[in-house]
Amino acid sequence: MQGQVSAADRRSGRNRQGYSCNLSLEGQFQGQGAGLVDPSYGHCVYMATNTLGLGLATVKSKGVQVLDASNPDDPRLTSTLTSPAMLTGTWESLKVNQARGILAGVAAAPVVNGLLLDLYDIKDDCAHPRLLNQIHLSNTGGSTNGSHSDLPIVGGIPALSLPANVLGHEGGWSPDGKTYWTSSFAAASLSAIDVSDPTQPHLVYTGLNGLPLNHGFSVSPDGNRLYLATAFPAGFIVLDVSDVQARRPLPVLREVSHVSWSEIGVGQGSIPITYGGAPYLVTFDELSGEGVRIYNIGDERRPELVKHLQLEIQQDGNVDARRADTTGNGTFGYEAHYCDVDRTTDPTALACGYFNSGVRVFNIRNPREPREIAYFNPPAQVGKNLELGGSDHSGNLLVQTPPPITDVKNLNVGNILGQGLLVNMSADYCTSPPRFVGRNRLWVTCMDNGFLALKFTNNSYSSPGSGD
Amino acid sequence: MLISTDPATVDRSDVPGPVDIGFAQDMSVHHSQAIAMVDAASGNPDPTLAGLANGIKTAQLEEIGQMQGFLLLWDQPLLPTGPPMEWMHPPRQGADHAAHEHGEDGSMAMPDLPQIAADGGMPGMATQSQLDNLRHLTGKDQEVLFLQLMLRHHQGGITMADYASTHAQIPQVKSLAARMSFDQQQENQAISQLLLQLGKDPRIPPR
Repeated sequence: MQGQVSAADRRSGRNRQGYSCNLSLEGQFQGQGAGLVDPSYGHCVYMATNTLGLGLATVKSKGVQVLDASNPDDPRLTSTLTSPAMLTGTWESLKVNQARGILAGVAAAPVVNGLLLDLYDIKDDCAHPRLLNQIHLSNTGGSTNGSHSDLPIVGGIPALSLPANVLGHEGGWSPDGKTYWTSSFAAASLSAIDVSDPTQPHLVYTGLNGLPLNHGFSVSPDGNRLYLATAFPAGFIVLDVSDVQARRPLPVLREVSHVSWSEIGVGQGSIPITYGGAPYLVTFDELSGEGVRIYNIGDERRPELVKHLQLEIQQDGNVDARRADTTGNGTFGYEAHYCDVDRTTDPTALACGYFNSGVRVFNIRNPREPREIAYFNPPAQVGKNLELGGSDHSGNLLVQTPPPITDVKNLNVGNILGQGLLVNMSADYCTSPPRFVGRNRLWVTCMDNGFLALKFTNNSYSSPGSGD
Repeated sequence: MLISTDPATVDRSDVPGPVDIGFAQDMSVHHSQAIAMVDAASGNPDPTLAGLANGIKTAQLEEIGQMQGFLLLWDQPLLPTGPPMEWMHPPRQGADHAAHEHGEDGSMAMPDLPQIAADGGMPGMATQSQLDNLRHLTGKDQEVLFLQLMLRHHQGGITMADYASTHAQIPQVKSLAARMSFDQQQENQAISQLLLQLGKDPRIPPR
């Protein structure tokens, strides 16, 4: 079944060989596993490390691992980033602004986070990022190398004197690279940080949006719209953020429209694209097998669903198989996470990372009829929980009562109390945004397998170029 | 297929049923105890614990506000009116429905609820003497007991929230319940990992 790693395969060990179609492995850097979101820029990859979980105890090389993949056969570690936010863990906030060549991440451990933002220059030498903001978002000043005595300490590092949880969880850039937005589940907060001068970042907006909870987001090319994924219910909100983009002195965000599709779902994020100049939005969910949707947002007040794209295993009729397969493998079932397109203007391909289902590529020349053209689900790293302490997956613990989080329809994926403390690692979590590189390459990072340089085979995909 | 003639189970997304009302009432009480736990440990100097506790208190106060708002609009009592957890015991119809009976919507009904406290209380609730103990302890001992009690409190809350997220009538109640379950499971991951760092197996209950 499409997307499935069957219970039988997980029992027999077949899952340790992985699964692929039209994608082959060129090179890999597994390291100690990876965090949720690990961007790349040029020939470099930034692999985050889980720090809240088992990672604290077993990770030898903490912080963000910088890889040089200019030779994709042999990606190499060139540097590690250990400034406060990078060390705390960046969750889904580690993002690159392509226009300015800046890497940013906030301290965003899943529950407890310090209020820290780190910005790195990667334009000149992506393999050796240079920390730009030695002073963090503090009201009181203080540098990264001491004199923090008046700041509270969170997770061993100084936190900022802002209300707790203002930052955290998700982060992302406005395309011009002058604003870095962060959102948090906690109280549905949303903040905008002016990074025009990356050595002096400062907050220009912070607010609590109330319900539904907000999650990942994307920003329109002109910076005036923020497409915010929502949780409970799953959906998205089109927000007018032009006050922030224009740096008005008292910015107010205004809702243009909202769409929701599942009361018990969690929208993850979105990508604005255009076909023939008409705007569309790709959205992806991380709960209840909801998968991917494509909306026509030509009339932004009335987004129109064009296509709902689920893997076969994600469809409602396969609830029982999902439960059987993913029990014991941690918090997440067969769920989509981040996606990317080969180009935002008249895209030809969409690649999405999935929990349990690897990375999967779809031809989306016609958004109404996407079809899968390739997939790569890397070998399960069974038994390596401790050596892969940097993986956010290996750090999952089986301490929940059933039914667990991610597949409410299923009324039980994953975690059964009393089966032991560690997840069974029977399929990887490929949650990071894939990236189309060059003519026929795809770079992805999976939590357990780390960075994977993949190449399309059988002429299944060839880059159309950067846009028409 | 379970056929019901109970009007409360007819699909009416604008009228609260027993699950909507019972969940809002009981979960308000359940949440109140989590806030009492946070307050009991509020003097603990550990900043990670303080951050976690503050996050729990903020979320649960906000959720209490929503549940009480629902009850006010429905003209229902804010406090429970009967024994706890009745809303999670829908009357069984027919004799031989095993744990995996199917609800009207095709979703699976909850199995029996062993997590419900033997004294008839709500799942995961701490006893008064455990709360007293939490108030009197200090330092690491208090930290460990707080984490152990909150882990179990959340586990019970998750059971209640999951039932409501699949059995409530009103979409907003389902969403709120699903959100609680998600938040508390995330928090339980952090709590478990903090317990491990303190050298405690999270599966072992507090004394």
